[in-house]
Amino acid sequence: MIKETLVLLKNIRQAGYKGTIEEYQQTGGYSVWKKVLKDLTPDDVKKQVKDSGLRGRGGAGFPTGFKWGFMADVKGKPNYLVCNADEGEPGTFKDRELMIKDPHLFLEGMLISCFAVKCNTGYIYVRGEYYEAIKILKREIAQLNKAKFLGDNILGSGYSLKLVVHSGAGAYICGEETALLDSLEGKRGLPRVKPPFPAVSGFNACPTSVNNVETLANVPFIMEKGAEAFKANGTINNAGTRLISVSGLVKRPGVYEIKMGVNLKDIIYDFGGGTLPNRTLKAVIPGGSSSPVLLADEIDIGCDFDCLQKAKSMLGSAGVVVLDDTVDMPRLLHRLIEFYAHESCGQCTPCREGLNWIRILLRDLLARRLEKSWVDQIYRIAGNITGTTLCALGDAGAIPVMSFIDKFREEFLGYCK
Amino acid sequence: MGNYFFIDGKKIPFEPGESILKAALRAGFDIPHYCYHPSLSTPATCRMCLIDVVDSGNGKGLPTLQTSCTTLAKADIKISAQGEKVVRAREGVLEFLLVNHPLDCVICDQAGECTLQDFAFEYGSGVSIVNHEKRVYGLRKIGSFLELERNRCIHCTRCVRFSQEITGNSELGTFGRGHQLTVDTFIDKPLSDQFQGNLADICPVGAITLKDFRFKKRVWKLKSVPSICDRCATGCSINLDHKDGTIYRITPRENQEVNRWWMCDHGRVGFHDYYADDKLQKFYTKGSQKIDRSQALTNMLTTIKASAGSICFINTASSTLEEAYSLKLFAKLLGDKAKIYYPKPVAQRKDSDIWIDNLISDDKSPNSRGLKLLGFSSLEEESFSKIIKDSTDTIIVVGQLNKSWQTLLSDITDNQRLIQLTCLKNELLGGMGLGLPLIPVFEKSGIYVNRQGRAQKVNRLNFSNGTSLEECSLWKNLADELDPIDNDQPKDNAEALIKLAESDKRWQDLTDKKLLAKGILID
Ligand SMILES: Cc1cc2nc3c(=O)[nH]c(=O)nc-3n(C[C@H](O)[C@H](O)[C@H](O)COP(=O)(O)O)c2cc1C
Ligand code: SF4
Ligand code: SF4
Ligand code: FES
Repeated sequence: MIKETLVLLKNIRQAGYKGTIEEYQQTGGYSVWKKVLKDLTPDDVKKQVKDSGLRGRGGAGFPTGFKWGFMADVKGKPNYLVCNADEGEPGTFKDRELMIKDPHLFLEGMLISCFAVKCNTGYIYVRGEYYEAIKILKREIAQLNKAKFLGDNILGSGYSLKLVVHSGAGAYICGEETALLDSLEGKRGLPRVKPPFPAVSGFNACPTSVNNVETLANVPFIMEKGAEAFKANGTINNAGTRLISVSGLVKRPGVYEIKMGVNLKDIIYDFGGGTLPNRTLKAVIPGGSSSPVLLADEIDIGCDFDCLQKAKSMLGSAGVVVLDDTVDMPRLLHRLIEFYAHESCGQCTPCREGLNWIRILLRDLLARRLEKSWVDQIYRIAGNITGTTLCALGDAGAIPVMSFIDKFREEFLGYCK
Repeated sequence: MGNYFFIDGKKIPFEPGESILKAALRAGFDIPHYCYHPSLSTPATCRMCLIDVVDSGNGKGLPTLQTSCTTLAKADIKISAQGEKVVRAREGVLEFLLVNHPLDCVICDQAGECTLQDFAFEYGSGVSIVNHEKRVYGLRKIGSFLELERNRCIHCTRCVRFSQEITGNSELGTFGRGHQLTVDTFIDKPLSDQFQGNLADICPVGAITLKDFRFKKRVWKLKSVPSICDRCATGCSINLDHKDGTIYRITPRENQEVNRWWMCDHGRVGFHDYYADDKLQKFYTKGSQKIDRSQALTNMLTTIKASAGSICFINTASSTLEEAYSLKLFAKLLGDKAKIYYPKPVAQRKDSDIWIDNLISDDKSPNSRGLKLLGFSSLEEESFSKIIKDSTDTIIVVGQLNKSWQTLLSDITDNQRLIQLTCLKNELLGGMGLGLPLIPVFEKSGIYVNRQGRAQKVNRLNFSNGTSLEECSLWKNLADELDPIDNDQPKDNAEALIKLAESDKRWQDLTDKKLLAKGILID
């Protein structure tokens, strides 16, 4: 039996922990914030986060310290930190866990990170459906203001910070960082052309860092225990712990915290409790619904960015979706493509037209209206979407199509005329 | 090491900060594209312009295809625009664009100048496997000038960006998401600006077309003559698209110095005024009696000869420089009793921050500046009124007066004589004096000097509507009658220009090529 490594869920795993500011402080919370304000410069924080090797938890795994390093100090333009709490990828629900059950851990991370990038107004862009998280964050930010951990000239340090909670309106694409910034500016959420990257021209064309909730929640630990202690959890190049959202056809779905590199199979069986009675494991989607699917005999691998990449899949947002022998793969794919086609912002051609075309073809396939040759055509169409779109949503929709057909071709052919 | 990069081995020069697409197009290297337009921001959304960077300067290529409209050109990078990867991606993008396209080219006015057609032909795979229902958007009306057929739209958003970035009124927007994305106006808010026709020009397909041109002519049957618009003192560069003696439409011609890529709607459809059914092609005497051409000319000569007192010419500045110079010479022949004026141009209102709002001149005459350069005196409305009331013997109006000036003519007494030369319908004509038709601007070739002081070329179509008069030859004919032996009157515009250039060096070396391309700043 493997065990969780508790860094982010340390408090949440305590029975009866409610996540109030008092409770959080009793466990030593906000002492790091006070220390940072008193003793450290923004560059000190940046350096320590860079040394820790922390990589973004939102999906792409980009090193956070580097991202902050790209932020140019531009005269007359304020710096912004925007927390991406849109958590839209199907199969992913770890950020919600943090925001609802231990909001102050995340908020302390947010405060320190804002300080690091010299930001005086930080935004938290929360998925619209997370109304509970929005309520809690607003309430707890008010508590922070009251406790003078936030506001003007915080604890006499000369540093001022304001936090704003902004609710999304239900569009998955607004999780893509530049669409998120458009949305935050009050516009239609459309992914922007990069470069310029947000670090150069982001919110209101000012230098901006967009970071995931879980990413920021790691910062207090890094600042308290040091970069080496953070690296000690995890593997080379994959420092720290990772929250895994286990869902699908398992006995114990939920959010679990592992050291990076822990075996995927162990996660499913030891934490998730394995498949439901009298079912056998068929496949696993390891990193949110857009990551390539793994067959039952491919899951004996370490769960970190690099191992999964080697297995031609990806860790992504670490949403592990477990599928058993009752799952009809073409039907599941159709459902997934319904989602991606619906969530496409529609601005670029392959994603707008291609995903919807695949949606219609899968519909026809399920209705047994297609000849066998169409399976290859669907595969080819998906191939024409990958690598040709403006943002990664096109890929996110096309990759599962290709991987499902690669691995479950017979099932697709079985639906043909 | 110069500022060059390579596309499929071909050396392409570029300016720093320029995209690969822009540099390639300038060098005459075609990369298919839709959303990119040189006047607009670059959203990089159509994905048509993908290219493969095979060497980004360090011997290594980039792993994925790049959009050439956003990738900056850099010295010595190597691009493939014809490699297998690019060819496949293009076929893919075109296939996607055609999945929902109605393919109603047979009834689409854009056919023949549609880049969806062109690129599908040139870069498409040539086969279609689509076997299901296509997307159908409901009908929408966006105003009286344009037709919006959304099923043909390829969602390039050029039209939306035009309304945001060029006119700035944001009357068009995108609505819906994913495959339901569509362009539209806001509910009950039709387009209202004066530059709508440009939307039809920049729309790469037949989704936005001109109502005026709808179902009129297949574009490949049209011939095109480059010219300039005569509807105001701006003189936008245009193409006259015509067939068998009929103009079917006018489209703007790029001229960065004057109108960039644009023109106003008034100029675009103004040609109907000249060729409307009630066009004046007849000669009239006082009292609206029709007479024949030679009789009218005789009457005109007699009138001029009989004018013992003063003769006042009002040239409304729709005459070309050559014609106006001819008139000047003719007036000289008449001696001191002849005076020439042009109506004082309306002053241009203050500059707007929105560039295109300054395009339309408040002076509606195309050649006021040219007449000024010829030394004509300008006339205020009150002075004109005074000239009439002071019982000037003969008033000869060359061109169409505006409404309020026209009204002043009714003060003319029986002792005065009026001759009006115009190519537009004129309600008072014939009733008050002699009326003679002039050829319209599309039938003459000559120079206008616009509000900037830029000499530009108006070009003629090779047809004539018969009896109407050409100004130079009119003055020549009259001069020959008045003084058959010793007049210096040029017989046509070409000769007038030669004589003008002899008298004033400024008008030398005005080649047609330069006059047509960008015009020549004279003043
Ligand atoms: C279509 C799409 C949806 C995304 N949705 C989310 C999301 O819901 N939450 C998130 O943190 N990142 C999301 N991302 C990734 C963000 O663009 C960005 O990489 C991330 O917020 C950066 O934070 P990190 O460096 O802390 O991971 C999405 C990306 C794409 C292309
Ligand atoms: S890939 Fe899809 S979601 Fe992303 S910009 Fe293009 S159309 Fe929008
Ligand atoms: S109407 Fe024309 S210009 Fe506008 S988005 Fe559609 S294709 Fe582009
Ligand atoms: S022209 Fe480059 S993406 Fe449209």
